[in-house]
Amino acid sequence: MKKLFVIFLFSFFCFGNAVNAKPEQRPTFDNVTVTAALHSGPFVNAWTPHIKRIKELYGINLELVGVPVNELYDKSILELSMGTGAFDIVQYNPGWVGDYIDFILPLDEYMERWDIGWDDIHEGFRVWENTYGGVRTSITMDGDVMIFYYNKNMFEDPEEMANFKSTYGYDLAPPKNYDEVLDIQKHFRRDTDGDGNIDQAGYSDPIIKRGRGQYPYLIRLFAYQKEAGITPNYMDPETMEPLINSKEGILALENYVETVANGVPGMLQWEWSEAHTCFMTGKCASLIHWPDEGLMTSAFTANTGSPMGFADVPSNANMTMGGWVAGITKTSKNPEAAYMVLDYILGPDVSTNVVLYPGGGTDLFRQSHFDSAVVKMIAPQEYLDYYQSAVGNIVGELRIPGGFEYYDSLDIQVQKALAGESTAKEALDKAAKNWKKITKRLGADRQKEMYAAAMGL
Amino acid sequence: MNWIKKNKFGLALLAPSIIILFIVSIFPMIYTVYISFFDFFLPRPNQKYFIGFENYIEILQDEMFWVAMKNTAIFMVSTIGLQFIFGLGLAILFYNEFRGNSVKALYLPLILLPMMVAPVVVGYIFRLLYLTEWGPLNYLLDFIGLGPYSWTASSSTALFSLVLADVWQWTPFVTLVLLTGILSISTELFEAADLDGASLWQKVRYIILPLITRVIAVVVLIRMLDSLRELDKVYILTQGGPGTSTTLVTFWSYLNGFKYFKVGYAAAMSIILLIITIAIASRMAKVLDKEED
Repeated sequence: MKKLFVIFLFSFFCFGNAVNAKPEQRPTFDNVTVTAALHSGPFVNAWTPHIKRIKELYGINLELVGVPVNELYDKSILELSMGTGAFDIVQYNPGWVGDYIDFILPLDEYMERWDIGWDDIHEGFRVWENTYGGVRTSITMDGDVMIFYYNKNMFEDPEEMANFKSTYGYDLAPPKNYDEVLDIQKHFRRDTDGDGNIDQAGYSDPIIKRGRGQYPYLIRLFAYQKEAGITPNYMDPETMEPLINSKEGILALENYVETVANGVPGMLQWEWSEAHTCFMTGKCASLIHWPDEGLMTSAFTANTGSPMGFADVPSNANMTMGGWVAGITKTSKNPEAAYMVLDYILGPDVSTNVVLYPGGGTDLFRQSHFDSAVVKMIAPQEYLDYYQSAVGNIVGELRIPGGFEYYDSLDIQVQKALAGESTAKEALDKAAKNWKKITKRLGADRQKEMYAAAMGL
Repeated sequence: MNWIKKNKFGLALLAPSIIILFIVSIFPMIYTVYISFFDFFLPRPNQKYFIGFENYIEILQDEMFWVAMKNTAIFMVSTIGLQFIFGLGLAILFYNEFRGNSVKALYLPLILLPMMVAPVVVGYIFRLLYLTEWGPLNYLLDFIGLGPYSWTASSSTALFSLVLADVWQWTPFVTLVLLTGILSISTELFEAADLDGASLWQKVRYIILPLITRVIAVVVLIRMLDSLRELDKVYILTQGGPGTSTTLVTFWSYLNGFKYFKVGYAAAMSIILLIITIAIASRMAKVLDKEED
């Protein structure tokens, strides 16, 4: 409690400083309005305290339009493709950039004139989120990446360790690959209160429910590809032949299906919050999740009586599984003013406050965030080290036109396998067939070009 | 021409409605038909290619479309069947027990409350109710030794979970319409049946059902059309999963139109749905005409 109070006071102090930070040599405007379409709730909340200061510093009226997260893609694309000019700034998932690229401004020119602290943004985010085909198109808003969390008391219990070793033949420890994840799942799966229902899992994936359920499959695919000595890829960059139904892909989906089947009842419908709650309440021994939990170690220990453990995800094949970036639209009447807003809020001075904003839901993305004294007070150094190492192992999102459709058609088939409606091979063969259809429909040559740009080839 | 001259005043009165109807209904429909013949990917609005009936052919060959149609049919038959059974039961209860009793009649507005709730809110309510680990429904079932169930988390129960939510929301509507039908039956018929010692079942079988056929047909038709365009609960509760078990045809059409932005394809799917709707409605109308004869 005392620690929390100190953190609060320190954050408050830093927040004050951040709001009063004065950028250098920035232009001012005469009552210009900049409209930003943001994920309603966390991002709108985190940006709102800066509206007044932006007005004072630059003469910009910042209007925030909160859009529910599930509608952010469709609403933005509708506005952008119709050229309504409704938004100057759009928040989007880096995976959607293939559809956004024709509607957003390259930012190189602006960044050269007014450095936004580009080099301070962690390299993994600069490469996989902010740059497309060598052009800087966005600024990271939320440093998403995956971290393996575990309940130290459960993993280091001598009896558990002995039982695990006698069953599986090796030491109980953070898993090196997804076969070991499955062993952990099976080992800790049990009915703790003796009512006949399984209520404890060994592991949970970050999201399983229809909608984003393709991600745990993809992170496994990349892990299996890495283990086989193959560079992680969605498709063959030469032929655009999908790799999702390759040998590694099938192994990945079989592992995913078995891991979920050996979880607790209802896991098929789990999203961010269910997986988070399961781990934070000690009902899941381990979890792969976004970086949020690492800033909640006190709450975790208070709930479970255990310290929180951290590790790299298996095989070090990481993904952002979403993430958020901000770009400026080509229809913006005041792109310079829009850039100033991004420069102020996402720049090195203020963004530490934004990422620490209570309920803001955003994660660290700059080196200065990791080096911040406030962050170091809240988060264990071990967590920060794994976090930074994870950013260095990101495999980029499928950032090509139709990215959403590729993902969703894969998710449909992955869900069928998870639900037992088809085998892993059947599901992935169908998904691959659909991917080929999408590629053909959107133009194989252009898709190939965009894929090369997206994967930095 | 003469006719227009003769009805000038009437046409002038109708004109605003016709113009609005044209803008909000007729023009979009014509445009939907037009766009359904194009390959139109919204993020590239300047590249629109005429492809004739290709979208229609692709839809009819699309496995997901048929899965969605099958799910929709199951959803439609189950919801309407259950709503009719419960609705009729409640209507008879209200007719027999609460008629003329002002205190008991207060229950009627109360049972109508679910249909006044927005479908999205119903989705959220049931999402909480259905939670496997922490949901109140499973808590109760577990308490009496009948649970827990993986309601929306299992492909064998997910569609039933949607049906249940829909039945909860729309049974009151069916009750209300059927009650209106029963109230329109002459009380003398019931009195005569009582004198003859008819049972409740006999009254239902030989008086109520034959005399409210048209009302039943109307309510079934309305509910059929509603079921065909069910989207909110799927969106909130299951997103079409687990697997494809709750992907209804409107949800599939929504995904294609507003998530994949295959505008022409989604338009073609809407036209197919429109044809199906018209076919169902005209079939029902024929049944009604036959009944009248």
